[in-house]
Amino acid sequence: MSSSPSLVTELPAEALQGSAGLRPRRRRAVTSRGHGPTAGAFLLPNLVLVAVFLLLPLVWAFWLSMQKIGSLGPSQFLGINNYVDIIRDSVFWEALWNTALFTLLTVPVGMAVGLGMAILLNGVLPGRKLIRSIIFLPLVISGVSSGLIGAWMFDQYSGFVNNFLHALGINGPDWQSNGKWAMVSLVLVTLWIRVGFDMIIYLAGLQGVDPEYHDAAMVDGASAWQRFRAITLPLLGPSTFFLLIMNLIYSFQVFDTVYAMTNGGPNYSTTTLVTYAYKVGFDEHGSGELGYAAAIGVVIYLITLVITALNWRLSRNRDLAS
Amino acid sequence: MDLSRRGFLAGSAGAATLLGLSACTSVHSNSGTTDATVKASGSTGAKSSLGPQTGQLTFAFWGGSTGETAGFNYVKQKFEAANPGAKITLKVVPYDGFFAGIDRGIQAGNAPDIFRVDYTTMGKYSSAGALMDLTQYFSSSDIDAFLPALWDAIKYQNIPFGVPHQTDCTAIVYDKDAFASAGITSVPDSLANAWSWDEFSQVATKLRSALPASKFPFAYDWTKAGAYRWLSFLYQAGGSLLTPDLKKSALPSAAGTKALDFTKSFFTNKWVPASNTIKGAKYSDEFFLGKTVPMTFIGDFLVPEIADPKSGYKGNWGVTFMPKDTAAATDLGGNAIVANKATKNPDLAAAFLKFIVSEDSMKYFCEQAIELPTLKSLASSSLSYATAPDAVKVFAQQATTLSQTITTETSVPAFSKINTLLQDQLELAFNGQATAKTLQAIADGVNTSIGS
Amino acid sequence: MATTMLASTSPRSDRVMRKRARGRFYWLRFALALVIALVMLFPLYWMLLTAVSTKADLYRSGLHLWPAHFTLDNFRDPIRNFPVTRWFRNSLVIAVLVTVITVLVNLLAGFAFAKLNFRGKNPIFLLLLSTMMIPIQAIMVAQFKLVVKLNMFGSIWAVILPSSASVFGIFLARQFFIAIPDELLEAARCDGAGIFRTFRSIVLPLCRPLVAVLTLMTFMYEWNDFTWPLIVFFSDNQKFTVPIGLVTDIKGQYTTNYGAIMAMSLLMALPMVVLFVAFQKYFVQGLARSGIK
Repeated sequence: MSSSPSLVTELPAEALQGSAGLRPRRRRAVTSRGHGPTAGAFLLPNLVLVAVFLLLPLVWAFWLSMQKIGSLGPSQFLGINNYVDIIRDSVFWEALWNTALFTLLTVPVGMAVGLGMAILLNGVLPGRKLIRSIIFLPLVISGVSSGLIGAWMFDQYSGFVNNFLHALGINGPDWQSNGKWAMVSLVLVTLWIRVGFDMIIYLAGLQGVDPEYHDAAMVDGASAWQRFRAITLPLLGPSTFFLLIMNLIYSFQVFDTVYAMTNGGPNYSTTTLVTYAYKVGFDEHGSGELGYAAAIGVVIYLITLVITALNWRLSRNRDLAS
Repeated sequence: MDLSRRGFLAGSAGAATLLGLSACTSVHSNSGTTDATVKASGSTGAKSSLGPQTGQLTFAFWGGSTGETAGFNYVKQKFEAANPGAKITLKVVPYDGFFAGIDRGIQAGNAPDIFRVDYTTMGKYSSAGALMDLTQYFSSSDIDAFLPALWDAIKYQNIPFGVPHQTDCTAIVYDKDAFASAGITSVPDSLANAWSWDEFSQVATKLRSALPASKFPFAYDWTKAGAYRWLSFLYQAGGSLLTPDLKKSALPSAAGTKALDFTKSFFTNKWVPASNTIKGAKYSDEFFLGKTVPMTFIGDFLVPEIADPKSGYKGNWGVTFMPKDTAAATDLGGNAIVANKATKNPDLAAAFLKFIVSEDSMKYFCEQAIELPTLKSLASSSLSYATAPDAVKVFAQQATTLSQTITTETSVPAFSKINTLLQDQLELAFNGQATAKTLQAIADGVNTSIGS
Repeated sequence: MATTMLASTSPRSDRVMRKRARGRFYWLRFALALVIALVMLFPLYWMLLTAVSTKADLYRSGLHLWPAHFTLDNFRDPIRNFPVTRWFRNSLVIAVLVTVITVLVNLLAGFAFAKLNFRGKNPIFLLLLSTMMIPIQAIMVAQFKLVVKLNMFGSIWAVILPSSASVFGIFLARQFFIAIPDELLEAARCDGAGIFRTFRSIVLPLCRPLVAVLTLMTFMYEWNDFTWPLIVFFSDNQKFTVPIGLVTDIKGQYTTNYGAIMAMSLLMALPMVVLFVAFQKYFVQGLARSGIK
């Protein structure tokens, strides 16, 4: 067993190979024959599941988004009226802004902190493995539990955070009744959940950084910061790219933590697009308009698509530049 | 107590939205309910005397107090004893999300056969054609046994779609010792001398100065689906939500402005906890039980919880009336019991519904659950309530302030949509949205959902 | 003890580095790591502390880092009032079934993409990969309609099948299989083994760590999954999985009694924590590229 293990769960192939961001374009020599039928057998179960339960609903969602569907079932064709309503819907825009804000606050901060932790724990330290595991632990606890822990710790009247601040002589903020602070508490809990993941991926990336580079740079008299900028960071490119996609998608789709912790409140301060879609379509206190919820869902999907496409473009350009 | 009132104009509730084909493009997801036009099945009372029934039914209700559960269990056992071969399965579901679950069940075809629904939500189901028509199971003498206002509350287009099971209304529960130490010496002991808004404000001010910053004078029961209880202030100020023909919003109005400004001041004056907003997580009784407030507005169905010797209120508590302005008012709380149209045993379901509202069942239920009956025979006799009979007397008197306007407006088919709208708009208002803007937004939303 | 300083400097510790004060720097880093670990662990400790405290103690003012009156009522009471054990059984059944199905189909597909040649390979791979971006909330209305149409609404299959439609594992499996030298497979083929037998007898044994990692990840994800089961099981608390029971029944009943809420959250988190601690070495092996160099 190697002495510097890293708990990697999912990695871009490049990180494993430690290459500098060049995605391996495997032009494997075409073997003597294709494996069409065999491949079909291998792929079929997965393809069927995905086709029936992901792709079909996706196409169907577009169709449903053009209807008025009450929570008791009767439906009526509307054309694009749901989308017209979305554009006029101030709550939608608020939810969109909240989602963007939440993503902007959680993703870069989480990745920076995760990188810091990875660098810190990449060297030799007593109890290093244990500390890594502790940092990783929140990730295995459900978003629901984490949300409930957050709701309790940030309770504005009796929660730990305000009691702690009070002990320091600070009057704690109104975490539940003030929208801005509610968002802050949600971001903090999300960071607590996510930094472990960021750290793990970066740790794996750091395994691929050859110490010899650093030794050479040290001989050249480069400072630690210069070495970090010139060697470590570029070599971590693939990890960063991978994390960026994973984190953007995660933050964009976060639901359980919000539902358990703030349920979108106060007002709509912590209502994200996905919680809004759920509220409109399925929630007790929503309007029970499934067609409108489907339309919001379609918008969510399109935005996710754009983010991912942009990411790909950026990474390709980076490849070409290097 | 006298709840009898002339039944309101038949058929005026829920004017169906006429959607001409040409209007198709102007339809939006949030516009008026596409009401099913209903036609009575069979003639009145054709099956009013059913023999013993067999089969199985599920009956879903939200988990109320132990008194309610005891009441429903009693009905189940009695009914099964009277109908060998019939089996009733009780399903207790949390109140939060109860109707979302019912909706999904109705769409998926596996909703319970019988369920409980409050008068404010009733119209949503009856107008969508989701409920069983009870016309043929109730003869005119059966119908006459109920208080007319409440029988009307379960009708849609003049067809009964459920049975009125009980009513409740809001009044005030307060801590006598906290009042004494704040220097409040007299508390109204009859409807006639209930606090005016000004007197109520003085009481709140006194409490405010007597309490530490972490405690508040009172809490109001408008949390979540209780949003419609804000309307009590509108009615007290002499206003109404809808025009008399129920076709349009009667807001904005001077009464509306007065009521909204008054209720907004609860927050600015720190009379209620900051989290006692519409979308807060805590209900008004919880603030009282947790001693965050020495006075709270609650429905009578919560009296057993307050009076519970083990987990109830630790302290010396009393009950008094809602404040009044130009009028006295409270809210129409309470529930009907309805049958799912898709039930496989319609006769059994109807027999069970009739059994639930039979005199003996209703008497036992109301006595256990501290709620008010809907049968004339019980309304005139006094029930022997299991807990806090003195408290119930106050609620029973308070219930007489339910005007016909309140009853009719609360049971229009679009009311559940209106209630959702009230939740959103009042939450914004309590967080600082201007009064005029709020009233206008409520009016616009009401007009859209009524479909005018 | 030669501590090779890799890229293990953060800008902040730059100055210290320049001083070449290695020993002190080492302890400083250790102290920092310790503080981070304590901060990360604290909420879990708070959950535990809350779970064994009486309600009265929770609402005392001031900071209390130790339970004044130890109690197990927060565990007893909800378990007595709600079908908690049933929720655990439901969660377990669903998570196990989803895990078995998902891991199996992902392994097969991953192998096809890594080692087989067929027409349309790249487009199909991209198509599958693109489904990773479909948020459940984008399609939940349609999925709801779908399971209603398939007459599955309210049954566990309404959760199991859509949840098994996952491509998450294909990604990892493919990378893993790519690392297996083609020569190995060629050799097996020359021995006359069919592709399925090769897969079963040569490929699978080589990737036990991969299977372990996938199993663990899928199980964990499913155990904690919330949105879709919430929609399907909402109206029947006998069918709830643990997270749904937590947020609806438990939170609904014990709004202000966080002792009970935290106790149940703890029970829910515990199996995952135990699994994680027990299977850490698989994670490690999963990375150590299983001896194929």
